[in-house]
Amino acid sequence: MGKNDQLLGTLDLLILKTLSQLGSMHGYGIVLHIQRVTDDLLRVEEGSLYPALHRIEEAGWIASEWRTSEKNRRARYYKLTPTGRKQMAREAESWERIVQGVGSLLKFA
Amino acid sequence: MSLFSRITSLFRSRKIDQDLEDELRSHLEMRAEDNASAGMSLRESHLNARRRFGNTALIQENARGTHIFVWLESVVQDIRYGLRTLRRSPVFTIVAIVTMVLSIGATTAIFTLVESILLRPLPYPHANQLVTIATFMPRQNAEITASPEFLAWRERSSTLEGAAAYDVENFNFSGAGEPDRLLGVYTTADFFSVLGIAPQLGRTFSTEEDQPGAGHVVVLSHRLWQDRFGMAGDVVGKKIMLEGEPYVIVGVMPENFRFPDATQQPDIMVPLALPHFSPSEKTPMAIVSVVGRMKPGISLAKAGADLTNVSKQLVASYTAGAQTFFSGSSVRVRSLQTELVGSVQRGLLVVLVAVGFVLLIGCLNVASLQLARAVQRGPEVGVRSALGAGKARLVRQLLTENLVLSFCGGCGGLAVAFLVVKLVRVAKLHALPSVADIHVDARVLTLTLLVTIICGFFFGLAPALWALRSAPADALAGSTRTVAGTRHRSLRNLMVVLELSVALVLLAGAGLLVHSFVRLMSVDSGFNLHGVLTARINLLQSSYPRPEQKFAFIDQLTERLRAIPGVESVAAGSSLPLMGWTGGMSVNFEGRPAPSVGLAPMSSTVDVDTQYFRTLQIPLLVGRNFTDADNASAPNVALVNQTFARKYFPDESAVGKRFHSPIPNSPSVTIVGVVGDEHHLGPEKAAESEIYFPMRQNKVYQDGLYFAVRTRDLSGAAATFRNAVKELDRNQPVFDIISMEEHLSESLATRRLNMLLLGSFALLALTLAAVGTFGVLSYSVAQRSHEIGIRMALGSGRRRVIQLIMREAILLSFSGAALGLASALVLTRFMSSLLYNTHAADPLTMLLVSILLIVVGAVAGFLPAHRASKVDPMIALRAE
Repeated sequence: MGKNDQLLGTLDLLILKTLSQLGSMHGYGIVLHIQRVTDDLLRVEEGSLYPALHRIEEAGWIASEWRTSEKNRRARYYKLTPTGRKQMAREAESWERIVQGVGSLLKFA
Repeated sequence: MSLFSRITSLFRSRKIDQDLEDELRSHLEMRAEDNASAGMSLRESHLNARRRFGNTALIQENARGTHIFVWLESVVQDIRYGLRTLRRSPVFTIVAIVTMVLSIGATTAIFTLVESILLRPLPYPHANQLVTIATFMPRQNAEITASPEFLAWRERSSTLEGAAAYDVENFNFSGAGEPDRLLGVYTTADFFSVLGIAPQLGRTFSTEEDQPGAGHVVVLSHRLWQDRFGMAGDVVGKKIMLEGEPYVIVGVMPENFRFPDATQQPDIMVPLALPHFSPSEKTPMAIVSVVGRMKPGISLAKAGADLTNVSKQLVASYTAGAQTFFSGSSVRVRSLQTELVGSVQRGLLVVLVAVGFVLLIGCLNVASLQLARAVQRGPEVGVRSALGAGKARLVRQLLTENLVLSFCGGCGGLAVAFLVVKLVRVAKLHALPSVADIHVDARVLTLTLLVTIICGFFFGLAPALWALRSAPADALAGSTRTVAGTRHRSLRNLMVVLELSVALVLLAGAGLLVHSFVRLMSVDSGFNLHGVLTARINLLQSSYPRPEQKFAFIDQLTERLRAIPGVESVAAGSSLPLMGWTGGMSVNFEGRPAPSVGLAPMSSTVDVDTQYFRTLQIPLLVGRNFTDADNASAPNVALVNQTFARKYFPDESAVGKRFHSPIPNSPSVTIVGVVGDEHHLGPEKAAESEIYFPMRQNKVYQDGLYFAVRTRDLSGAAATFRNAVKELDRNQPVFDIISMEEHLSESLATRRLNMLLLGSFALLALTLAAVGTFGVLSYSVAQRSHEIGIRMALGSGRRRVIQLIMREAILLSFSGAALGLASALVLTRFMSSLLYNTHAADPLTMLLVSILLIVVGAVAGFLPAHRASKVDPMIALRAE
């Protein structure tokens, strides 16, 4: 998300949410999905994505395996673990709170 | 990340690298494929994919950054890189490391002293319960504890677990090797149990042995056992001769036993054997020192109140005269630790603060050097950050480099500290309490490590933060000249001003100590101490039982000594100037009303021979000197000093006046002359009223003798003195052979140590500050060579250029001096107690050190100024 990633942790939430929607996906697919779903509003830069994926995997929220893609290419697929699902719920909740907070602040003006 | 996965990742690292590369490649290929299907050319689509992807190397680095192995690897890399950079600029590295070594070394060494002496508990179990107890007598203005009081405290106190009395004396020792005069101590039997120390060999003496007239038993120090008995295991039961009488060795103390006295460590311990005291009978008293152990949880104040109460009850049982004598006295209870280190505490703390300042200057200096380097390294940092190094990563690298530097400094500093501590131990400085076992321990090592790390961060932080601020584009675009901002220069100037001001504070402190010391050394002690050798002899009661025999010995010895070439005169006396208090008496003047019992004025007394005043060159002001005719059969006479004459006979001549002691049936004494004052108690103490008696007239002859020899050959005098005594009586020990000058200098040892330490730190600080000033100005000249070139091209002469830089140097020095002077005036107040006859804000000292600082600052600026004047305008301008 480049310049947009001031809201730390948002990327983690996007990845977790994407994987919960797609079941299991490789990095490139995650980029495309986020871009598509947000109507090109959010672009995840690969420079941020892979470090994030590896960090989240080390944290145990996602697991990965090498598989062959639908286009017959070897790629690394990520999927949510049960802890990841819980973490996603937590992050989603805090995100909602932030949005609510910012929203009411904007409305106030 | 769990520890387990971190550790397993250490082993998996190669596979992780491979995995990551595969993953990124597959991502790129998928992107390229999509681009191609969208109609891009193959080359174009690959390029586009790469561009979107950004810096693959960086992504790899970042993704790998989550693994500990990679982290470790990058630390090692940073250290290696740091070492390489340091090697590339050897001058900077050497200056920085030497600065660190000296400042960390000095800090560690001084902290070792402070820790060993002030912080470490004394070497006794539950040492915090140990106290010294003494009775303060306001009329004598001294602490004098009489044995009956001690006995009362020990018996009746409710706050003490136990108490022991002792009295340190010199003993003539023989029976094992050469006869010698050894320091020994009379102690009560419970001395060892109160301190909580058991003997290494044998036993200590029993309560039965600690009675008047009981057996002669002795406990030896470990040192004496080693020196005289070769640590033989069968020493217990053997006999030695003390004061010509046989004593049975019953025990040996362990090696780590320390006698609770700040200055002396006795080798011999024998029973004090205090007589039982009853106020109704006339029983002899002894003056003793008392060490006690309070019951756990008792405060000093509570113990003091309890013991004062006990003393009051005791004094109430005394006769009226004795009650007057003890009136107003109070019991002082102090912790043993405070008692032992109190005299050096203030000095050590001042020195510790001083060394902290040196450390501060050292850090500022290295920080300022680093800052200059940071500017030069601007392009390097710019390139690195343009290549994708994160700011945090860059800061980490710079800090690592600094830590490498400070660790080199720390190791060197530790070596310096070990060396200094070794020197201190070898030198056995008189100024330091002998109970302290000075060595570097774990606490000191921890502190050094902490100091090292803090220094590394402290002087690395400024340049690192500076690197953070700079934008890579500026760094790459600009030449080094434009990079140096004014803000940056003012930061460096501020550092130098701080350094100079701290140096001035230290100079002021050292200057005040030097000033005091010079004042003390030039105090007119009232006699000529140059070329005088002194020695002490205690004639054995067994060999010289009668006074005539003693006088015969003195006569023979002085005769032999006078015959030696170079010897001008020889004197004997019960004491000598500067040697301390010897005796005292109350005087009742005839023809004046006798003061009530116990309130007669006190004077010091010294027994001297006829040559005393001539040898020491103490002037006779009025009347006559003693002659050989002033002997036991002649009328009693005395000389008094000027203070005595002024005090008691302010308006008339003291000569011819008569006095006697208040003790009934004392003989009447006629004053036959007045002599000049001499400082008997030491140069710092003013002369007291003093009475001199002719030695041969004093019926109660004290056997402790001092000899003074005025000679032109001081260096060989000690040996000739020893030989002369040996030829007369080969069993008679001589001790404390020392010249007056050496004696004076030893009595000033604490002052000298403080002065030397503070002085050397002040010089170190001044040097470091000068190096700092030099560095800043050199750098400033380098930065401004372009500007200087233009000035010269426009007709500015070399003199003007030198003036330009010198003005900067002098401005810095003046600012430093002003700031330093203000701080010094606040801080030196805390060292007033270390000063003699010198005000803490002594204007002369302050003026001199300020001038010194400004001169040194100007000198440090001259070299850069000279270099600036050599700038070739053509070259400076062409460099654009």
